[in-house]
Amino acid sequence: MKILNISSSLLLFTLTTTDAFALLCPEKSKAPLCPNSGSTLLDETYPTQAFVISNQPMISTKESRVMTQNFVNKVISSYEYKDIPQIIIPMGNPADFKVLIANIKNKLTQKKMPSEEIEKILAQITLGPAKSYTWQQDWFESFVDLKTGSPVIRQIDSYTGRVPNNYGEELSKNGGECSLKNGDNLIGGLVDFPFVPATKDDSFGSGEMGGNIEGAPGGFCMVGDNQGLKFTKQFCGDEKNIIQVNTSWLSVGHVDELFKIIPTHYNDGRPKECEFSLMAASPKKAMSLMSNFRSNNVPFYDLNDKDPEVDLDETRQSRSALNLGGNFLICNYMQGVMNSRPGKLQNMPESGKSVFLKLFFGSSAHAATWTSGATNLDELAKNCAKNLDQVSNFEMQEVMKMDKDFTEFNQAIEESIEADKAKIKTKILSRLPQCASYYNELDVPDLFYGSKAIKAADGKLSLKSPGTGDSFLPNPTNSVLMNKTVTFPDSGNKLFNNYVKDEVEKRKLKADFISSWDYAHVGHGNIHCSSHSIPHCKPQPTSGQK
Amino acid sequence: MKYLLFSLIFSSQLYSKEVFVYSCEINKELKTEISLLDKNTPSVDLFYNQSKFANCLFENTPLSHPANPRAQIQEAIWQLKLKSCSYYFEKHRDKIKVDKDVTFKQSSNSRPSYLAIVENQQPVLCVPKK
Repeated sequence: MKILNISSSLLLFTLTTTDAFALLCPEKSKAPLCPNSGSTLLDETYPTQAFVISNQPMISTKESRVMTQNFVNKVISSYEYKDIPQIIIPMGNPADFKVLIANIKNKLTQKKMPSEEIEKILAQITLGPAKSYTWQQDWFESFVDLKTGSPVIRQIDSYTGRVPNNYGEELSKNGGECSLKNGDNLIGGLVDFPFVPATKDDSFGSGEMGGNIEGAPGGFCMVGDNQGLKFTKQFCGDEKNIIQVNTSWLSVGHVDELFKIIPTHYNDGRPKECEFSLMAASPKKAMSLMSNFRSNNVPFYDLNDKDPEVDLDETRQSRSALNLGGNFLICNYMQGVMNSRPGKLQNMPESGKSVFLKLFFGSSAHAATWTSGATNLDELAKNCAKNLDQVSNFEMQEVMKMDKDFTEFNQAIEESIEADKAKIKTKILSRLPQCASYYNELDVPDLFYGSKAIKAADGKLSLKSPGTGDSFLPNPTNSVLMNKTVTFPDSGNKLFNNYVKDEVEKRKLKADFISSWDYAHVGHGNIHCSSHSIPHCKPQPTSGQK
Repeated sequence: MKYLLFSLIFSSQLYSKEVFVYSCEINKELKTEISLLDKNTPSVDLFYNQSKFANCLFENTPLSHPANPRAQIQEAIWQLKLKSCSYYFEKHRDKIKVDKDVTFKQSSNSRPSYLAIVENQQPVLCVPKK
């Protein structure tokens, strides 16, 4: 890289800042070998060449308006301010990009970094295709050219009407300097109306989206049961490379809502290819953490009231508006807690003390308080906003447990995910048997609401498909790996955040958190859904080569 | 009376392009029809061998979403709570065990819609009724 003309004028300096240095491209020779299974999909143990991050929040609040900027700052700091991947930000308004760059520059300047270093960092940030769009995970997927190891993005044909047809071409031009290519569109195999019973070749619902395509070690592709072979085979090669897991019980129905592969750095002599962990959503883990008596003084919702980037009124509003996400049920549970406290105590018990709720077996918390009529709903929302941070995790799980529908639904989810974890493990170890003694899983706390479970005569639970399942809190598996840091969506629950942080650190990674409730959670997704990591690999040696 | 007539005409014009009624086949003998004409209190007719034997009234809940912003295309989710069922033929009462919490995944015309109405059974496919 060489320095070009840098103007002494501050304004011009800002405007031309991204031209001052050339884009730094990664060295493929340092990356792990590309898969040899025939799959063109990489898992998250491969290095990232570029990030794409959305600049379009679901609802505009003080918190959501700084999400993109915070995401970029976290990428920069996770890479310790050097060798940063390209960061592409699709934006409708180039003026917004200039403001964002100026803010990031300001932040770096505050760190007293040399201006040349700052310019090198800013040169990695690129204004992307001219349309802001939230779900940057979904409209395309990133693969690799197995001969060169360079990324190839492929737009999804059935993802129509929301991004321009040439969006992929535009995006690839943004990364063209580093050999980012635009490949053939992935052709849809969605079942169309009039309905034909879905065969294993057909996709349905929201099955054909980037969030439903995740790589796994051993050259596998993890996809949902709502994604048919006709679609998957276009990037994953042989059917043997495909691990299909149950996702269609979810409202959106994507793998990235339930599973994520993260690298580990145990450095204990295990083979390099065994340095990974399978993160999986777990209602059981969530309930277990909440039922610990020590959780009695940790609120279910932490409102981050000391965070200058948060407007407390807006936060209370988006967590208590009954028409958003699972707020209606959460608010009912909270009301259930308030009603069950002896003496109708308003505040959360002080540290070390407990409140024994007067609960009644057999009555579902939300059913008990559900009554129609705007007045009651208004009151419910009002109380909810007021009491958000006054209900402890322990109290919350006590009331949740009383709701039979919640309990059965989350139990069925746990069983479904456990079965899929076993399937994933078997598949991966079939190709990497040397990893058997190192195989690692990380259950992360996640609670769901949605369609009731099906209970068979023998008591066996199963999930409705297609279903309407959704995560109550921002989902930890919908996180983004940034070098050696896993950036999680801030669940708003310190108990959960602290747990995932500890677990990630055990795997010799760092954990960080980003507020994304208003940005993505209210839209049934999170930071993984609103971003894209574009990885690369080192080509396998051709025959005759070492 | 004038007001009522105006309301009826207005309503029918307003929603003339929307699909109100979906037919959902459970099996060869049993089917249901969900009507979304009244969005606050959708109703479901139950049929046995083409004969209507009951009508159930539901109540919409705040858990319903008009459109899932991340889903494929205009996929609304209706979470309904059972208010009451009127049975015209008591002998058929147990033919369809209506769940007290019902979900309707309403997709655009080019995608299938599903109704989860029978207790402890998978959702059934629904098609717009012509």
